Amino acid sequence: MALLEVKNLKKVYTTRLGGNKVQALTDVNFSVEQGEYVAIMGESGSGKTTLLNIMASLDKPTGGQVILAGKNMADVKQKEICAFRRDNLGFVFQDFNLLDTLSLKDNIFLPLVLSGKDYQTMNERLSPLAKRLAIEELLEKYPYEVSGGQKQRAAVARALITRPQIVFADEPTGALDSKASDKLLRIFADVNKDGQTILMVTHSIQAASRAGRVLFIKDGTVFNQIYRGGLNDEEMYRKISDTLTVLQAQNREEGAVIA
Amino acid sequence: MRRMMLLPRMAFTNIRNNGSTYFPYMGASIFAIFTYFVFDLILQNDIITTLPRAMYAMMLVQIGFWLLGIIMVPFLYYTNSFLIKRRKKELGLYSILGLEKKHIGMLMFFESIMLYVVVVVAAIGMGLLFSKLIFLLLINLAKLPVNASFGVSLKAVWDTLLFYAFVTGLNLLVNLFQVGKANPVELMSGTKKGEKEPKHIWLWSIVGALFMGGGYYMAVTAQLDSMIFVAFFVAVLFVVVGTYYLFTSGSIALLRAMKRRKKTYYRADNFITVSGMLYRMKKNAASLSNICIFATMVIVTVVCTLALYLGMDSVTGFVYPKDFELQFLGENVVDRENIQAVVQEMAEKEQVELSGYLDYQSCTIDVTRKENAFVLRQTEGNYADDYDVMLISLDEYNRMEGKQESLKQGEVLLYSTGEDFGYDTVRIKDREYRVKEELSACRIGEKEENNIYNAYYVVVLPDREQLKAVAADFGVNAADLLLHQFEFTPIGSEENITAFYIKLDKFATGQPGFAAFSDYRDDKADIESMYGGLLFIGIFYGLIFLVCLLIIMYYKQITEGFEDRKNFEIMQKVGMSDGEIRRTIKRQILLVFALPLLGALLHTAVAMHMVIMLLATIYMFRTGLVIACAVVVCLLFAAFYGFCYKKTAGTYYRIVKQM
Repeated sequence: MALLEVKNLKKVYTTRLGGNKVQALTDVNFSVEQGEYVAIMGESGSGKTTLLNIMASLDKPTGGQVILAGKNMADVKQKEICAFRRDNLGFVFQDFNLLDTLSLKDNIFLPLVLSGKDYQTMNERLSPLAKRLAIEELLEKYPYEVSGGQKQRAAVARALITRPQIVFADEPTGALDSKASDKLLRIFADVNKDGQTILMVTHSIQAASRAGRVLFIKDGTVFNQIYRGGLNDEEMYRKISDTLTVLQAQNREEGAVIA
Repeated sequence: MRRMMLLPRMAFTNIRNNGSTYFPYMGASIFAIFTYFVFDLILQNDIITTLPRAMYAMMLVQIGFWLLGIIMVPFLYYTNSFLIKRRKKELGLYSILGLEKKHIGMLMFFESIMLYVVVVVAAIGMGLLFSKLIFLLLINLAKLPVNASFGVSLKAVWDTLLFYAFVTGLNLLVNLFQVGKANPVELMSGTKKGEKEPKHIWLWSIVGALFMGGGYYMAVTAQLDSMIFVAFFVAVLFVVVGTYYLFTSGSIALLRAMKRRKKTYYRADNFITVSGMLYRMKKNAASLSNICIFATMVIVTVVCTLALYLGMDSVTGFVYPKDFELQFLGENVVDRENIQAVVQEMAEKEQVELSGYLDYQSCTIDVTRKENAFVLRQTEGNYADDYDVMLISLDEYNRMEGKQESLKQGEVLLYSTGEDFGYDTVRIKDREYRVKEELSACRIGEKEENNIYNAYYVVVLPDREQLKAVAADFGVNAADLLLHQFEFTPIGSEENITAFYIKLDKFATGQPGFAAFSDYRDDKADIESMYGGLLFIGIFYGLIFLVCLLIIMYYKQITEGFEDRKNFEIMQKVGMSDGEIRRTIKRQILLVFALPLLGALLHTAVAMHMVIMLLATIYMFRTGLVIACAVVVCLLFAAFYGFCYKKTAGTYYRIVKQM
């Protein structure tokens, strides 16, 4: 059974007075298997972020279902949703979302503190993670004292420390330079190799080319998907690039028709 | 043309859009300037020439006016610093969008002008509207005749315009300087930087504790002497400095200690609170100590004002027990029955009633007290030990009090109008007497334990011969200097009393042994005028301090609300529920609010002794009343403070929840 199933997902945004309706997601279907590394690509406004927010239970769908580990997210009570998110999902954001008030170590501990774990457990979980993410030396520093790449690695550590079922990454390389991006992506691949399921939303072909599967979203629906199969990163890069070219070509045609 | 209008229009929109920060600033400024203007208006009136008694009240209003000006500049400067901090990001954005420094300068200039106009118009408008009323309040408090005329002087308007122009100009200069030296990127991130944790916190905590302890010690051990005012100001200064350091360094030391205790620190509710407070403790502590100090000032001012208001009558009564005093000197020169009959007859004729009629013979000697001994007045030494001792014979005492006391030879009754004498024997020069009883009350004068600096003793001696002998020891010839005093308070209309006074004066001056006939009504009025002035200042200062307190509290919550918004947004994303966020916020705000309140209550408790001493310098000796006032005011203040806490917590929560 798939770890994450998305069935007929719809989302309509209505302006406050009920005048304008915007269909962000029309009909999205896909599933993610345990241990998969999936990238979702699409242009601005294609509905990527909406999709991610719904999967992460930060937003509610207008129709359809999200099933995580056999549990329908719609059935999780509002009261438990925070705890559910905390225990089952990990998040990595484009702008890191680290608290300036906490040292990196305390930032990483935050979700565990919130779920009431004791200090010893937290430390035990942290040390292998910190080693792996090469942030051991930085743990006592504050976010405003370290670089973007270092911040993002700390954020990854925060996402992983709860041992989540799935990690959602929203444009994780968006605010990083190419070197830091590369390092981060290698870490993602590495973590995935150890069995961590990752779902990443991105613009970047470079980022997507590391994934095992890439979904393309267009006009609120899954337009296409490609599998890595036996391809290496470069071949994957080219394949994604070609698909995007086709996508854009179609856009131009549609544009021409309307014009 | 359109470009010239652009900046003023932007300035206007800025003020409107930043209403939540600008309107409280404007409100506080309006109130401050309003008070300034009203004080000035009152002072510009030439009341002293028409109402001679108003002198004391006016003098106090004058002092209050100057102090007001001195307090207001730093206060408005402080409020302004909140404002500019909030706006740095926006100004940075303008700068990036292509406004040059000089344009931003112009923009800020226009904003200042608009603020200036609004504040000045509102303050002066309200001043004109209410000044007459406030003037009447002053007249009423000072018990001056209400028919005093009140005019509006242009000079006061002009003064006020200049004063606020000065304050606005100062703030504008500071803002321009701050914006001028920063580049756009710094402006954009101006509000985000975490503060460096200060070093040597233990050292500073100790310094703070020493200052505070020193101030407290001075307050508790304060003596009523000529240095009391100096001691008061030094103690206040010490406590202010001590509060500041204890709040900054002390709180950081405490928070660090909490952070070091991993078991408790890594618990959901402590975690966010402790780290958040530690993060910006320096600024936080500065405003916390400000709140604490202003809260103390509000409480102390209101306590003094309330105690004065309630105790005013007892004060005048204490200093001048009776309005009229008629005095004759010499032994056996006065026919007391005859004088009483004449006085009563005259009073009846003038339709005046006499209250508290009393007459007695006494002889007063100047002494210096050394423990239980009264010795000849010494020119050197602490004048606090110098006393008047009123000698009176037993039969006079029994007559006056309507008692049947008896004394053996070598025994006396003793009465102090101040602190209890407290010894079983008294040595008067070379004579030793046993104190048969220390009296707790006597009709000659009221007793007030706190009356340290103009208390006197009454010694009741067994007979006239003893009195003469003791007086002679101190160089007083009782045969010539035995004082026969008649005292009473006439009750009736002002004119009747005056007519009565004139008649009685005429009669008395013709009598043998006549010494003096005093009418203390004017002196009482002077005291009342002084008290009225004090009350008036007290009311306005209490209000001003309260406004300062509220504004600091409000800005603190707003600033921190905006700073914390992002943090709580992140926490929510990481998996903190709405309920948890609400609980955390409550905790944090409660801590932030409870500390200054507790500090202020402690300060007040310690300050009470000194407050009582200070009030004693103006004859306000009713300790019980002062303490009762303090308790009531503290309770009311705590309730009011709690109410503000609830309100601000709501505002803070709304800001944080706008995610």
